[in-house]
This record gives sequence, structure tokens and C-alpha cells, in this order.
Amino acid sequence: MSMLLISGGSGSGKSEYAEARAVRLHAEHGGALVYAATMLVRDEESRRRVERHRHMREGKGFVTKEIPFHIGELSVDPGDTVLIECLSNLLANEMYEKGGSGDICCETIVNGIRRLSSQGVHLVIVTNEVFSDGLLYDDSTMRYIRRLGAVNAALAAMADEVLEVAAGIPLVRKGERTACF
Amino acid sequence: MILVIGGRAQGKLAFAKETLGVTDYADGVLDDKNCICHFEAAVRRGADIPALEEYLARHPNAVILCDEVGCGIVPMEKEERAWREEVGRLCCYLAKRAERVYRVFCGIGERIK
Repeated sequence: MSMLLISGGSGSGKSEYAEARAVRLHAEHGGALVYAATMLVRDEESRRRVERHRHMREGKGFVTKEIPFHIGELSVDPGDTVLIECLSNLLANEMYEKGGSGDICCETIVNGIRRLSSQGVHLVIVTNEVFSDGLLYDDSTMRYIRRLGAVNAALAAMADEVLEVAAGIPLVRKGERTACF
Repeated sequence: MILVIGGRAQGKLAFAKETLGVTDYADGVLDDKNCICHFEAAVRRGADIPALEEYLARHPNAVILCDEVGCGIVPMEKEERAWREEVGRLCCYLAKRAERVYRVFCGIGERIK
């Protein structure tokens, strides 16, 4: 089992890269190749985004499982490769949506991922760089930013490998440089 | 072609002048210069893949500088969201096509491709 955390800004190419890594892990280890989709689809724009990502994944053998909350409850088997996309959606759902865990959102996500990891799966986790626009937001959004930073840091500490993707190029932040492509 | 990315005010142009031999540049437009500064502004003005290809056909050894704009909270305005994403995607496109890619941080250029 292994854990890989991938971050990057909007349009950085992190999804495409994460998929490629998941496909390779699956080729090496067998099991199921699971795409844990976290986005709640409410409008045309998110529907189009889901469509675009689905199109990118087509023919690669992913089984899509919708899991907008409580990531630890995802049903997996040892040896599976699980691509979780993405933590920024998961956190927003846990914080703001009915059915989310509210104030214990960070624990829910971090403990949930720890639980998946302990089941012997290969995890590829996509998160989001939302930390560098220098703007001041309302209290709730500022809390969201701090929480996502804390979740990223907690998962990076657990991960074997942490990468930042910029212009589609993976930059190693933790782990062996030779592992990435 | 060389792509130089980095956050705002990180010294991309100074790096390009010192290290990549840039002397003259166009600012925010795909103009008839060998260097484009603020490619993200050109995207706002409608620069897309066909326009880029046309520019690159005339300037195969261009140096293109672009602010990274995707590392904030997703904007409320639809146009802003679309622009950020488009800048990111065009940077991915340029990076694939580029001979070299640098990322400038605090004035320090790191070659990432």
C-alpha cells in the first residue's frame, strides 16, 4: 500500500497527472481501479466539469464511486488503487452541506483517509492550492482555507510521496524523485 | 520556445533578461516580439491555441512569461473562473511544447523541464 498526495492550482494539470499515476499503480498491483468522485453536481458548470473529467478517464478502467461525504466509508478491498478527487470539494461538502460533519470536518477527512490506508489500498489523493491569492474573505471562507491547509499538511505527513503540479509538470515535495514521471 | 511561470512579482522578466537574453518584449499581447510578458493578460484579450500557434510559427524560439493565477479560492464570477482555468490549461499546453520550462520563485528560476 502507498499514499500519494498531489496538489496544484486550477488548470495546473493535476487531475491528468493523478490519473496517470493511479493507472500505473493499478497496472503494477492489480485489484480494482476506483475513482472516488466527491463533487456534488448542482449546476451546468459542475456537470460540464464532471463530463470533462469522465471523458479524460474513459477507457482507462476506472470504476466511479460517488462519495461526497465520509470518505472513510468508501468500500474498498486490499490491493485496490483509489483515486480521490478532490479534497477541496470533500472539505466544502463536509463543512457546508447537509449531511456533512460540520466542525469535525478535518478529523472526518483525515481519519477517513487513514482508515482507507489501513485497509491496504494504494491511495492517490488530489487536493487544491487555494492559498496564494492574498485576498481577504469572510470568516467562513478564511476558516475553510485554514482547514484545507491543515488537512493537506496532515495528509502530507502521512503520505509516502507529495507532489505539486505546475503547468502539467510534477514537482517533488516529498519522496523519491525517481518515482514520478 | 521557453516558458517561464511563477507567481506575481516574482522576478520573471528580470530572470528572462539576465538568464535568457531577453531584451525586448510585448506586454500582454501576442505581438511581433520574441518575448511575451504577461501571457495571462493576453489570455484575457482572447489569446487561444490557434493564436498561439500562429505566433509560435513566426517565433519558434520565443520566451513566454506567464503569471500563475490558479492558486486561490475559486472566484465567484464565472468569467474569472473560466479565465483562471484557461490560463492554466494554456500553460500546460505551452509546457508540453516548450524546450525548457522555468518556474521563478523569489527571483530564483528553477528549471522544471
